Amino acid sequence: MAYVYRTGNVRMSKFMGSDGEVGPSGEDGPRILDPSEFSSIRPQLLALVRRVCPRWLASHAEDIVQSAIVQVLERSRREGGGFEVSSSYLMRAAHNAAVDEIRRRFRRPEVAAGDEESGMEHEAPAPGPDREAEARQIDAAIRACLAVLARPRRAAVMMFLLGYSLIDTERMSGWSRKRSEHLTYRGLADMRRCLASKGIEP
Amino acid sequence: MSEDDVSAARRLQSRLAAPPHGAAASDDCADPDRIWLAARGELPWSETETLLDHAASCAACTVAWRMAREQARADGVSLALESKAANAARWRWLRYGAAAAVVVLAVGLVVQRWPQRDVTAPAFRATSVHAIRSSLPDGGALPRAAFRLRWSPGPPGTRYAIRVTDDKLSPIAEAAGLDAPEFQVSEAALGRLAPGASVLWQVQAVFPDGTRVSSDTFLGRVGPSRGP
Repeated sequence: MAYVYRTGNVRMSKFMGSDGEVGPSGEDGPRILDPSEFSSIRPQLLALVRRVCPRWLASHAEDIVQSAIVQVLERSRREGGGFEVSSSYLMRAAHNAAVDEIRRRFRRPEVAAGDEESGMEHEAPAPGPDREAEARQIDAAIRACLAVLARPRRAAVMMFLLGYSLIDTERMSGWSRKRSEHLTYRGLADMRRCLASKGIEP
Repeated sequence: MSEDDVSAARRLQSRLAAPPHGAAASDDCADPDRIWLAARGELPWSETETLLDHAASCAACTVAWRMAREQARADGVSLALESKAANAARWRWLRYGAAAAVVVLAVGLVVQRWPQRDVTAPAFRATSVHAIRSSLPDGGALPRAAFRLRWSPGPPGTRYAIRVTDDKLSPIAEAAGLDAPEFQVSEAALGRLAPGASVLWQVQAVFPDGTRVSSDTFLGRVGPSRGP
């Protein structure tokens, strides 16, 4: 017996044998995730990657999102079985696959550089090698200074640098407002001193 | 903080938000789903702090955190309240709950004496009183050896099918024709999952009148081998 059901914009079908066991049935077998089911998720994810990623990655947003969706689809095909999933869950799976793809590009920067030369997307001119080297140096210095902060200060500073408010930090950490403020401000002051000692003015 | 401090902090924020091409990235990053949950305030602070430590040294994870944070904002997630505020809220709800119980009791007595309307073939929906809900705390860990998923029952005679996957939609277990609102995932099926890994599960119910209801997708976690 085949049945079709819907949740949000995602539709999946499932085949249930007469014995109640879930498994392939009929000529078509189980219907797996279909690319069209990502139609509402794709633009959302694309906008997210373009908004959040640094320019050198954002210019590959189309590739990153496409790879992420293909990854989720391939997994679904490889491992079989149709199953109803909500659009929010598909977004989460696609988002996680996009993070994997972004990590891959960070670990193998030559891949991203090669793609740039292919002329797939050119939304922004790449900075020159000198600027890039300088940016890498500053990034390394920031991370080195974060590494020497005392642990709670590092966490508070990272929360701030990732865009969380003091109220968010207070809620997530369980620290008092005063402690959250103290750790964040002292931590930022430490960062400034540490960067200055390396000749860097943030 | 002085104005100068504030603008320096903002510049630092922009620098960290945009790691350059070739910036240092680790090979031992956490599962993206942990960052997704941490960014929503859904992980214990100790684990969040570990993920923040890692992101401080890993450019790729800094971007991953920002993505998860932005998506949480887009989804309208409000961060979980911690201890004191949550406790205060719990006490407030206890008081409200006691008052509500009195009202429900009074309404129940009135309804019991009211002439019953004939209701035929109600259309059950996932949002109705027959919605399938998890009986486990969302995101809670279960021991590997006793990974028993439980949910709210439908009317007597309801049969259930369940599908369990990891966070990448890879199947872990599935079953159909269940007559009890529970299912135990075998320890062997969970073998490839690391401690703390996410497990997603969803139930479909077929009521005695043939109505089908699908649950939301629920989140659980793989705990240690044995329970406390």
